[in-house]
Amino acid sequence: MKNVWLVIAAYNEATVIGDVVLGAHRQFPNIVVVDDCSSDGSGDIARKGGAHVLRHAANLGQGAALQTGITYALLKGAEIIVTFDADGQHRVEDAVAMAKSASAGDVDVILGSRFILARSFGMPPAKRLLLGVATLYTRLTSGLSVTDTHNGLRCFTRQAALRLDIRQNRMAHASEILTQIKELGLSYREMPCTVEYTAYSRAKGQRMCGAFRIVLDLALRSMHR
Amino acid sequence: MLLTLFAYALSQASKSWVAAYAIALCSLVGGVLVWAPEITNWIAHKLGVGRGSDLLFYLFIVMMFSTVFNLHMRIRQQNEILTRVVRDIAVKNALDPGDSK
Repeated sequence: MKNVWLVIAAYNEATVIGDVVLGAHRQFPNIVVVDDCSSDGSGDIARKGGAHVLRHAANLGQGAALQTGITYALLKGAEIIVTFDADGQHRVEDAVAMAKSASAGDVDVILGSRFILARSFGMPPAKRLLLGVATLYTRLTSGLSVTDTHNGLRCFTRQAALRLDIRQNRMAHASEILTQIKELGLSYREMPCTVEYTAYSRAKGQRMCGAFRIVLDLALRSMHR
Repeated sequence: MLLTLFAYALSQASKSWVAAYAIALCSLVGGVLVWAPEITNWIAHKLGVGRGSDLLFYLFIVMMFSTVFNLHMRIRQQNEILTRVVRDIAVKNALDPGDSK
C-alpha cells in the first residue's frame, strides 16, 4: 500500500484516544493527531500511543483540526490520507479497506457510510432523524447523491487532498467537504463502514441545535471571500 | 459629528469605495436634514410613514443592522486569518512519536 497517513482530530478525548491510536497503529504506522487545545492531556496520551501530535494554541473546531492534520500529512509525503474519529466510533478495518481501495487509484475520494449496509449500532433516534435531514439538505445544496453526509471516516488521494481547503472550522466542515468534492469535480464513491455509538460517544455527540449552527455557518461563509 | 463622519468616509476611499460613498452620502443627507428638518416629514408622507422622526428611526434600524452584520462578517474573516496562524504554529511545532516534550 502507498504512503498512508491517518489523521485524527481530538479535543478532550483522554479517555479513549490512547486506545484509538494504539488500535490503529497496528495497521497504520503513520498517524497524526491534532490536539485542538485539549485541557486533559489528550495530545500527550496520543504521542505515547505512537502518533505524531500537533497542538492548536486555541480551540478552533474539528474542521480546522482536520485541515491541519491533512496539511501536515501532505508535508510528510502522504499519498493516501484517511480521516478517523477520535472517539472510538470507527473501526480500523474499515479505514484499512478504504485506504486499499483508494490505492487502486480509480477515485479521488472515498466516503464512509453507515447506511449502505445499515451498519450503525446504538444510534439515538434523534441522531438518525438529524442525519436524514442533513442528507436531504446536502443533496439539494451540493448535488451529491450520498447516503451519509456527516461521517468522519473519509479517504483522500494526495491529489484530492492538495486541492481540498477546509475553511469551516466547526461541524459545517462535513458539508463543506462534500460541496468542494462537487465544485472541484473530484471523483468519489461510498464504502460501507461501521459506526458504533457508545455511552461515551453519545455524550460527546452533536446536539440537535448544532444543525442550525451548521446551516448558518454555511450560509454566512458564502457571503464573503 | 457629521463632519467627522464625512472625513472618515474620505479615509475609507482607498479600502472600499462603496463604503466610502455610502458613508459620505449618509453624512451629506444627515447634514441636509439637520439644516432643514421639515424635509423628513415631506419624505415620510411620500413613503406612507406618519412622521419624519419615525422615518429616521426606521432608517437607523436598517443602518444599525447593516453595521452589525458587516462587523460580524469581518470577525469571521479575522477568525480565518487566526486559524491560518494557529495552524502554521502547530505544524512548525509538530511532535514526533515518543518526544519527551
